[in-house]
Amino acid sequence: MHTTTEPLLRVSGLSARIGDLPLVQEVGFEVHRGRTLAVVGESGSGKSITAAAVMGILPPQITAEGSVFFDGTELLGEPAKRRRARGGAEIGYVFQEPMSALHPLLRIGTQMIRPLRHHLGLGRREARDQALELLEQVGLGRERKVLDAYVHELSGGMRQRVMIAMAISCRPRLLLADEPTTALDPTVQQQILGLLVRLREQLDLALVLISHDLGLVARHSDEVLVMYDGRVVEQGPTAQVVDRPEHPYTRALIDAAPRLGRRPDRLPTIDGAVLEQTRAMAGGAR
Amino acid sequence: MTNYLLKRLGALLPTVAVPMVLLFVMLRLAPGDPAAAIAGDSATTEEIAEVRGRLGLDASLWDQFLGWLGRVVRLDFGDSLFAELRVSGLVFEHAQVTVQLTVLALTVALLIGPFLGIAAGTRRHGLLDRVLVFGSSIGIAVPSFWLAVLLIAVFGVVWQVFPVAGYVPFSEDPVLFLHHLALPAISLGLVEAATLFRYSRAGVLDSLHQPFVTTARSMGLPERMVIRKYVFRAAVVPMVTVVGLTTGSLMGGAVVTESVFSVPGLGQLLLTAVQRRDYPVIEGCIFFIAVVYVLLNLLIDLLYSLLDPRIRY
Repeated sequence: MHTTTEPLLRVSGLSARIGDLPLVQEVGFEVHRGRTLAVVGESGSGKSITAAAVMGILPPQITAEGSVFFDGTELLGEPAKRRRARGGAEIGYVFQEPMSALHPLLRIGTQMIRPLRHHLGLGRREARDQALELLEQVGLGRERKVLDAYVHELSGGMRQRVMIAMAISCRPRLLLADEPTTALDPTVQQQILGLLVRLREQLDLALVLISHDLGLVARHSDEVLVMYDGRVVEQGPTAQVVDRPEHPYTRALIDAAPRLGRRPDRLPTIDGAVLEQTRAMAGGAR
Repeated sequence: MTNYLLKRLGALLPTVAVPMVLLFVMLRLAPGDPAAAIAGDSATTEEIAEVRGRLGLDASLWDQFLGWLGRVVRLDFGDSLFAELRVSGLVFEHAQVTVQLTVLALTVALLIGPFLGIAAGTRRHGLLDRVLVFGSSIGIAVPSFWLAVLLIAVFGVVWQVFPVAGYVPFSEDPVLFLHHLALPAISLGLVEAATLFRYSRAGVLDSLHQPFVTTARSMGLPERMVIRKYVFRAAVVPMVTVVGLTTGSLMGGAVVTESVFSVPGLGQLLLTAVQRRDYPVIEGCIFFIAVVYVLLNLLIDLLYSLLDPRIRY
């Protein structure tokens, strides 16, 4: 069993702030290889900041503290160069908006090939072959046309598949997917989630799936972490959290999901909202 | 694409025709009389009238216009009023010098501006950035002819490493040619470099935190590569416009700078022609400048589509 071994990623006491304004406070979780952790919460709850802190791609004005323990090494406080070199090769990141996350002026092939050459030391030819291989792996087929295309020439689903192909291209062990399906049509959403889970199995990845949609990711995850206002409010095995939510916010989150055959008059809301941040911003920050 | 090109080239005609007609009218309405200038200071009214008749300037404005139009549509601008020289030859000869000066000035600007722009943009608020931003403010504020005088004073008079004025054709002696054009090219180029610096710095700052740059970082590419291949690639597109417009204004003849250095370029030709009311030469110069401007704009747009695959015609 995986769970009995050491987790690949163990985050503990992770906090992030911008100036004096806390964005994420005391977040902790573990992910094992071959398993999926869903991080759920509304916009502004700190999910993406958490993922960016693990990846080490926080905007310069945001500082992180705590512990990000990955495969036996503490990542926070590691020299920037070492940290950077882990990107792609050890940790892959799938962004929410493939349209803006892929360079608009470079061919898909160019963007895929550079990391392959850099991390795996492949030649131009080999890297191109490998890129084709990867496209096939994410369900786009061995299409040279895709490699020669620019991002605006692809459909939303294709873009996200390319993004995923790139994220896994240098054989990372951990994949962070930040709202990977939010920009997509509902039918495509399911396909992309299915793809991520399939890749997790094939490549024995640890997968962190970030979403605001608990209903969507529930089926695809082993564990759930619910975030609210920068804090973890509930975490545990997915089935348990969904069936017997303990925190009122989780309950509200489940109730807020539209269900077939039920027409709510008003979506349930929760007091407090993301008020703390808003108040702090109005007061302290510029 | 071919359609687009044809359309754009078709638009060239009215774009050039309108300023030409305006120019014709304005020149003849403006005070000053070429006939008086040719006849000389001591000429009598009769003598001036005689010259005017010889030049065909005593006809009605309408008749003059029809005659002018008939020649101009055949691209015949006639002779200079003051010398037995074809306008086309004069313009061609002087434009050559201006083109050479423009190329040199652009080289100076392109070697300095974008390079420093990246250096400053990636080290925002650092010492280098602050020094360069301050320096570029001066560069933009200072007129190039003032810089020209300063350069002459320092390199021409005090150190005497460059000639203070003059021009030697490239065909005669390439080294002397460069030697003479160095100071004018630098004084024009530095000012343009300051503008290019501003644009490239802004472009770098703008794209430094674009999502696609974050992606490149998340893929573990070294920062140097990220800057050179991802950030700069995005920042370079808007710079094309600046370079294009710069080229346009340089091609119009850097009138004052050319005068300061006595470089026989288009600016000098135009200046002398205006002073003497040499109508055909003014018209020839303006025609050339207008055509160059339109073609440059077309070139910029074509370059854009080459640099940005999202733009297709």
